[in-house]
Amino acid sequence: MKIYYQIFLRDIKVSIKRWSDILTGVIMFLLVALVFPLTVGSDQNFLMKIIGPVMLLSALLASLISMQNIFKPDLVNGSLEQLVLSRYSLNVLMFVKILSYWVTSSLPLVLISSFIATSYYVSGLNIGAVLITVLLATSTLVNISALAAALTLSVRYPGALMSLILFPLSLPILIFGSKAIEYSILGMDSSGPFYFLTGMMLLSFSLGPIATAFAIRISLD
Amino acid sequence: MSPSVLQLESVELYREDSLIFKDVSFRLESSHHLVVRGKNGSGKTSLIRTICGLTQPDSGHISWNRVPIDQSFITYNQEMAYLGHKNGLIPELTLDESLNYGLYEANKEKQDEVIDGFGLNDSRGFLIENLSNGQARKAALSLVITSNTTLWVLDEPYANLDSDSIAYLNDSIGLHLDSGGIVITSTNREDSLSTKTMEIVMDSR
Repeated sequence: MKIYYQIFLRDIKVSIKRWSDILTGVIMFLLVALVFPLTVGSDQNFLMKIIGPVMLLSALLASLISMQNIFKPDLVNGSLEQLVLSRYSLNVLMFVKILSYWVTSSLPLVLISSFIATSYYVSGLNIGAVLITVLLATSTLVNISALAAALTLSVRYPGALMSLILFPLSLPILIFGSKAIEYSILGMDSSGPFYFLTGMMLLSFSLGPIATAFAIRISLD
Repeated sequence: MSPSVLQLESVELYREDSLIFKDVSFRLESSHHLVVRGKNGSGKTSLIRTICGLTQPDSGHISWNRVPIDQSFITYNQEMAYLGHKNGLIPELTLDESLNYGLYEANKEKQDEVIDGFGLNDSRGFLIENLSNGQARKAALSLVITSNTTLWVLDEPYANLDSDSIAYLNDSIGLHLDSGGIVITSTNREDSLSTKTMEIVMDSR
């Protein structure tokens, strides 16, 4: 157990040292999310209507930018091979890697999304709804991104292929995430979309690491 | 160390329809040192990666203690230490951190001794990316030497090493063999080899 915790800490430490990667994702998220309140003006109803899709789309674009860095540096320096050949379960190691990637790439987005929400005239408890939606959606997205990154690891220019894998798989998250935020803001019963998002999160964290580990083994062959 | 045996039976590997190697068969037991020799591009690395289980052979069997390695990943990985072309060290970490976060169950005292033997004591606080190629190679080798495993698989371990370090590495390999370990090394040079019990020469294709 201790080694998994250590690898988790190691990955977070290394990501912090590669802070410019984290910052690129954060800037992308801020830029896309703030363009609408800045350009549309103070049309309160319109802004409240679009905040859902905008938030999720910004998160998706931010993850698209940073996802190449989940495994590529480790592949280049050879530490990925060492993980595969280590005595520890690669499935659990991948779970740990994806979790630490979520902490460094997506947790900052979750935190700033509460500030962004205020510029869309979202207030009170609804900010919490936005925050939880972004949290659930990004934790599913990191698993899909990790799988896409692992599958395309041996491809020289994986950009287009990665987005082709990522976008269709993330559509349900986009749709239900937008609905979760919209229903909360309109004061309707939003439990349905939230249950779906939570289910997807649990499903992706239980199956994602296994599929990713499998893809890594194939890519290294 | 308990007696162990690594066996390859007519292992064959193709890459995009071109043959890399075929009919590789050997049996290594405790205290054996296999040297894989050959020119650049002769398939040494492919053979090493196949032995480790990173690459699946197209035909043939590899077994560790009479169990095929693809059926016993965890057991095999527990008893094997691998050093590839790349050092497997993260450039953003210091040498000390790399030793602490190592994936092998290493003995701290042994680690200090080997780091000292390689003359890396003064570089402990340096980032891996600031080490010279030779120093980084020695750091990676220290992880293998202190790893408490039976089988060492080393791909070009002598690359970038100075003569003192080569001597120290050969001593370490000798000690490991004496205590019943098995070592596989690949090299493109004829010199700098310690005791070998078996040799495979890869023909250039």
